[in-house]
Amino acid sequence: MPNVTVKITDKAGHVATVVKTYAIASSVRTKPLMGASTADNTKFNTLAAALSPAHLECRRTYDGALPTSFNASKAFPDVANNMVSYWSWKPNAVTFATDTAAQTAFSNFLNTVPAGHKLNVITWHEPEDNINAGQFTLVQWKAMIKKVGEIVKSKNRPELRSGICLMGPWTFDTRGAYDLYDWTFTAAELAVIDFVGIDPYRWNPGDPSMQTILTVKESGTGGSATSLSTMTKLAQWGKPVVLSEWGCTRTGTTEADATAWITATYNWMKTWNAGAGIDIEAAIYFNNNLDLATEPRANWELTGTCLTAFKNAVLDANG
Amino acid sequence: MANPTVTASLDKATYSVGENMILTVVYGDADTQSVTVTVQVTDKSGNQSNPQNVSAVIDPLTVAVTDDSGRTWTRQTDNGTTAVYKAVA
Repeated sequence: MPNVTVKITDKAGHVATVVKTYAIASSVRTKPLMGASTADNTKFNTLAAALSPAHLECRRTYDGALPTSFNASKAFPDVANNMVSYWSWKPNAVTFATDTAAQTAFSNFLNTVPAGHKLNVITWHEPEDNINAGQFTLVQWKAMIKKVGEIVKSKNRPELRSGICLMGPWTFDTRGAYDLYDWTFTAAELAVIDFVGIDPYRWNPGDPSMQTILTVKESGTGGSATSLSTMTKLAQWGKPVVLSEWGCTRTGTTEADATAWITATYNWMKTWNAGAGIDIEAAIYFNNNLDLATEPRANWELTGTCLTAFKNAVLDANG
Repeated sequence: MANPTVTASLDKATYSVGENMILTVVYGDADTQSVTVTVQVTDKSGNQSNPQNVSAVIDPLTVAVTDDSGRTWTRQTDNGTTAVYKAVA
């Protein structure tokens, strides 16, 4: 809990101090904020209408380069729709930490966010592949994250937060390459990271439940004696978790099976949050069918009873 | 020289995000005194200037408020013994 310290000093250097501790009621409820991400506003509005009277409480958007102002960002409709924004952007990860002009532009952008609107900034989400490809280093990415967080904190606006987003289970899976990366953060870095996003999916029809994917090591398959499960790994940082993308493939699964998986995911998140440890503060369904001939599994679109199950979850979260 | 004293109280124990938080600080020091020196000049002929008052505080106190969460506490009032600060949760 935060502490406020009052220090009284006289001319002779005598000091009296008193410390008062206070609590901020957690913005994390037992029920995660339920939201969605879509390809565009039209599809989002269609989904929102289909879910009515359930109200999507948050939304994930991605702008890439920094917009000229918040009004020009893809997150802007969230203000009128009374939704918490989880907004992604991608500055130059190589130079941002030392590029004062870019930092000033970002600072000015934050100044245009309407007072009171909850904006969660996600900078360079899922950097693993980019780091692996040599586009930038993990050190550069961390330096960028720290600088972005410092700028966000400098606003002294609790409604503005900064976080990171990693792939999630695969990041810590020894069958991939990314578990060998140095995912430790310094105290100064953690001080400006408000939340950690992950993007877990039921990518394959045979994948287990979300609970198993996130709480059993090796993406839910067990196996390695040395790795940690995703939630165990994330707990080391002590930050609330955001499922900044999640979804159930609709290819190779029956509607009934996918519906049950979605319902089970929501129920598990509530159960998880009721326990001790880090919370899942938001879960943003990736409601898209990428319609890829080469990757038919990339269809997580909510239809039929899957849509109904998701609507029921949002309704429950609203309550 | 005496040590200063201080007590502080918050208006609530738990705040909602965005809510105003009020911190009341009561402080003092036995050595702290306000003094007024009156100066009046008289010449050999007995002519006197108007008296001029000069005020000073003996052993004045400074109040510093810090917050380990990074919140900024802004002073609202301070009468020398009681100061009120405000921050946003």
